[in-house]
Amino acid sequence: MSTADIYLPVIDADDMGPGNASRADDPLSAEVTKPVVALVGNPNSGKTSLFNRLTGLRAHTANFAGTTVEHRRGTVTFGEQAVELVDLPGLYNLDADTPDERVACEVIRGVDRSGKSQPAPDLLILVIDSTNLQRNLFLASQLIEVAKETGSPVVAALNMSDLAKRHGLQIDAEQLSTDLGCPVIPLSARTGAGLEQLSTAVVESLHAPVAPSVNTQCSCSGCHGCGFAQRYDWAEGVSQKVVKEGSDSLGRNTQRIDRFLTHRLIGLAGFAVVMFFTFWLIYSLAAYPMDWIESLMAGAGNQLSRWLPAGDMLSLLADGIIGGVGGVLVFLPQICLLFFMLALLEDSGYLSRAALVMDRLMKRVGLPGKAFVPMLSAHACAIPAIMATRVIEDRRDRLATILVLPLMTCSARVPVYAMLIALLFSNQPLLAAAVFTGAYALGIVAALAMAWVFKRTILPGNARPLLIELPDYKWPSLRNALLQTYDRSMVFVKNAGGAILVISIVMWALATYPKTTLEDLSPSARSEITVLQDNGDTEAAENLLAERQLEHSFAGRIGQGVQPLLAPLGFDWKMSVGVVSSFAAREVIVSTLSILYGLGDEGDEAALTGRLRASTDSQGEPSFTTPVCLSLLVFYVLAMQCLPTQVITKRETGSWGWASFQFGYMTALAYVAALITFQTASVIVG
Amino acid sequence: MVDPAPLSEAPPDCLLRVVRVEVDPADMGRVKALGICVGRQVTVVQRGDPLVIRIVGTRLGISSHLASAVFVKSA
Repeated sequence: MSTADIYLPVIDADDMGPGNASRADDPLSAEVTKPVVALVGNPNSGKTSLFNRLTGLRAHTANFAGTTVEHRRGTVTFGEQAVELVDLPGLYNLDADTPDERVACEVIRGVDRSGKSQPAPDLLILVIDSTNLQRNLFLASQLIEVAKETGSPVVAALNMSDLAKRHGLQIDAEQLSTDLGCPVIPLSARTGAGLEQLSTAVVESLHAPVAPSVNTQCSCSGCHGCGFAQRYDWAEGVSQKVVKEGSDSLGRNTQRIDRFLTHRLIGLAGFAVVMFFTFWLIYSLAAYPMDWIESLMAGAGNQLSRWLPAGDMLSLLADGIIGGVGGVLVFLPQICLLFFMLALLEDSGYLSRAALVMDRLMKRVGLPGKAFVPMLSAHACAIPAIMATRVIEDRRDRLATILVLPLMTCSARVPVYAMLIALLFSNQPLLAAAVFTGAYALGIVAALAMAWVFKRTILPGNARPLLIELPDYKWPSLRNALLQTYDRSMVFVKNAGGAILVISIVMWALATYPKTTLEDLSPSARSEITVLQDNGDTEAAENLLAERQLEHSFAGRIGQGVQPLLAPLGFDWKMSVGVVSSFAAREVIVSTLSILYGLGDEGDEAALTGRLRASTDSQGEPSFTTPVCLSLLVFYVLAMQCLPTQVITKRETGSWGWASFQFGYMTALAYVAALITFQTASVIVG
Repeated sequence: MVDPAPLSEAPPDCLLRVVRVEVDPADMGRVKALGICVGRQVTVVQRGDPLVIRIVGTRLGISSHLASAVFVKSA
């Protein structure tokens, strides 16, 4: 097996397979291959900044073969030597806890998932944070041990040396080099200082590879206990030896800020402010690009209708694919902004404080403090949120988090909330805002309550107790945040894109077939349309036909079929069709209702609200009464109506069982809650 | 402070040393990887649940449940 098989699921032209010492006997491949260089380091060591600095936009995201663990890789030229640079997940030690860490360890150790040996990287760049030497040296000690076994040369990058210098911290790099048994290059990923020297050291080590041969465990008689203690003693000893001048100012600001941000009450208030600002930014800024995407999609649909004759093909492309995929793409700006804000917050060091202050609340319901980042992300979209649960070490904790995440109000629910709330309180902005907030709160409360229920039932036990590094605060790098946003968004599009495409086509087919023509209609319906056409109102005639068409389609029939089941919630058959159609993607109900109420699929919101409010049932009573709207609202807050999310749940939990369970419990919860809402509201309203 | 005492009950801003770690085996790996290990110096920065401590040169947030199984004495 070549290294290419290990690192790359798909081998493209310029990634023909990196070279490796073990393949030197293969002259053909040796000519076209690049050595593999892996970046290893603690979380917060600035490893990813260094990677970004070295690769820029040339990097791409790939999966480790046979896993869902992603990493970034890219070609970098050191001097004249092109290498394949791989950014491994951050590690504290080589005895892994999370799936990401496990994969990183396997790559470093040169074994695959089953424990079989595979070529180790040709060189390891160990990234060390100069301002946090002792802690980083622990990993160094283990890494050097492993490098001795695998024969991989190591180059240590002493990062953040600009920050160290500014705070008067002096480190003897030469002495450190002796202790680590490898070249040590002071540098700054932020300013780019020292990268030349790194490049030279990497090239030299690749041409004449020498694995380190020093002993990195303290063997003095005063040491006690396990290998851990010996390594820490070694790290402490080395760091005392190489730090020529300590710093008093380092970490002082962090200490001051943390007096507030980790405070049990002020910290929570601070968290609320940060979150409020983040979401305000997401919702206010994303509105513009969302409008552009919508008009782009509408434009593409119109353009298609000029090129293609009217018919099933056009309908599939314009309504099914462009409409369906566009309906999800429109949320991409919000998702990107969320990723961007999270990247900034993470880089600044704040996110770990947020986990700290939230932990006390979260663990009561059996969720770990770390679950709050996914829970936050879920307010934009459940899919990236579920993927973000990978930072949670414990499987029980991770599963509990994944199960409740889709209860958070995602962007796709917002158009539905907006429609229903406009129906409820069109001229009362305060009440409207209160109900909007209430819908969000209901999602959060339901998620916490369900987590508590799972803790008592199917997922017994407590969340693993919190233990998290609180790195020093620093100004986040805009460049890193932008790169990370770009990356994560691409991963989102790639992961969800395929599922969304397939689902869009299926839903289109259900709503389109069997076809209804004018001849299939009852004489009265037919004459109604003919009259409209004769009066020159072709649009109204088309809309009426579309309404009948949807009514007779598979989706329409299913909707009418399940209507008796939904009647106790106050839903009539049109709403039922809307509910059924939105099990693929919830925002679909807006366009479904628009068609069913004769506005065509592009009726504007104000027109739709007016039409819905005026609509009556067969007895002449209004259909969208207050209890019905509230019941629909509660149903949409709680129901699992997003097939792409289900696909991701399956992928991340490894079984359709959990995805089905998630669907089942959320639907049952939505049904019962909507039932209670409708019946109670009916009694109160009278 | 009675020596040795659980970290969760140690006074703030005193230099202490870890003498025993008796956390659940499932948490042992994480705890040690972050430096909470026999022989290390530790200072409590903020008490409560979770606590903020300083160990191996960095600040850590640690739940009091874990901290109650880490025993320290004055360094």
